[in-house]
Amino acid sequence: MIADPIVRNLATVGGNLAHADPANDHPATMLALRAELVVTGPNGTRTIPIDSFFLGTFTTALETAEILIEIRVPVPPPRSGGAYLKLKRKVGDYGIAGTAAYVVLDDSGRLAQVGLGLTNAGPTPIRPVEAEQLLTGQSPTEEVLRAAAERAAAAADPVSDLRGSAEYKRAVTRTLMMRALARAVERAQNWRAA
Amino acid sequence: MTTVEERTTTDDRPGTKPVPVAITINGVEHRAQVETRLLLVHFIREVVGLTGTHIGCDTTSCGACVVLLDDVPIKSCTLFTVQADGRSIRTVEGLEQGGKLHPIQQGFWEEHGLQCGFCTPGMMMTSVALLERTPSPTDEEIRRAISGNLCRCTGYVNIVKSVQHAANTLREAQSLANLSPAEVS
Repeated sequence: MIADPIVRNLATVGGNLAHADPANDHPATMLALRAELVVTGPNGTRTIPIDSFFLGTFTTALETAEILIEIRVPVPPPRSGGAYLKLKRKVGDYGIAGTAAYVVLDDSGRLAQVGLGLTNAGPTPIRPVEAEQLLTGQSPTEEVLRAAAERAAAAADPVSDLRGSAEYKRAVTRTLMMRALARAVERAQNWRAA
Repeated sequence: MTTVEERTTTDDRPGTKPVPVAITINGVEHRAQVETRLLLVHFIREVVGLTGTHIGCDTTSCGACVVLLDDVPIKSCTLFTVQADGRSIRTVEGLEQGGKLHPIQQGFWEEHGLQCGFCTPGMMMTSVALLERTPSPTDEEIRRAISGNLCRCTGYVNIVKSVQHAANTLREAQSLANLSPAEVS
């Protein structure tokens, strides 16, 4: 569940991205899904890959007078699956930590494509590239997923605050990423044409 | 419906060419030329001059700026003024009618539902919308409805009581209105 009822009366995925709060949920899901963002302004319309969008806390690649108008997500192929998990203090709160995992399996059940994202794990939303690389081409055994979750947690750079210590948040990131990967793989293995 | 004199906000930054909007607030249509990215809450407070709607966080977290947009509670820092063009807004200033407090205002008074008062306008607007949809809410439903309105003084207990007070008042008024004149006498 994202945010409170009044926010949900108006909020959009686009606003969630353009606001660029690293505690927002959709930056992580869109990093995992390799989205492209279409933005427009006085100098015309352009497309920004999600990897180049988040420059800092509350800061994006949007120019002063540009606005995000469209989010393009590649159509998930057969044998794909995803999961987003977050731990929070109460319903609607920002996550203490959150993890997004998106996987595509090849015919032999190996991980052909992997996209990951971390919420509230640093000054910007984070794509743990090393964890993705570790997984790609591998069979999704528990051991492999666990090693990747370790890598993802190592990519996290949280700060200690009222939601917990940095060490605790990194531990939460590791556990959530392990579970998100397992869920995403399970969904990909059970994939059925819609 | 009356129309107030047209007002203009401008600045020199790129992409800020003003555009016309016509927004009805508390039954009065306001026409203005506004910068496209002017937030609705700034329009309400600084262009129209209705400062009862507060700004607490400017990031859609706190709920101090809740108004009703076509009867739906929204945080008025969530949207641009141009997105409200042609639509109808209710703010806290529209609650009192003819010198008589709205039942929600009376409820906050009777049950001591405020301390510093900063969250109160947003808290009341959210509650008004709840009671229009749900005339007999449970405490749980009230708490869920105001979960996007932060109060750092009261601990919410008296706010929930205030909303229940208003619900009672509104239900009593409704049941009186449903009686025929003969029954009332």
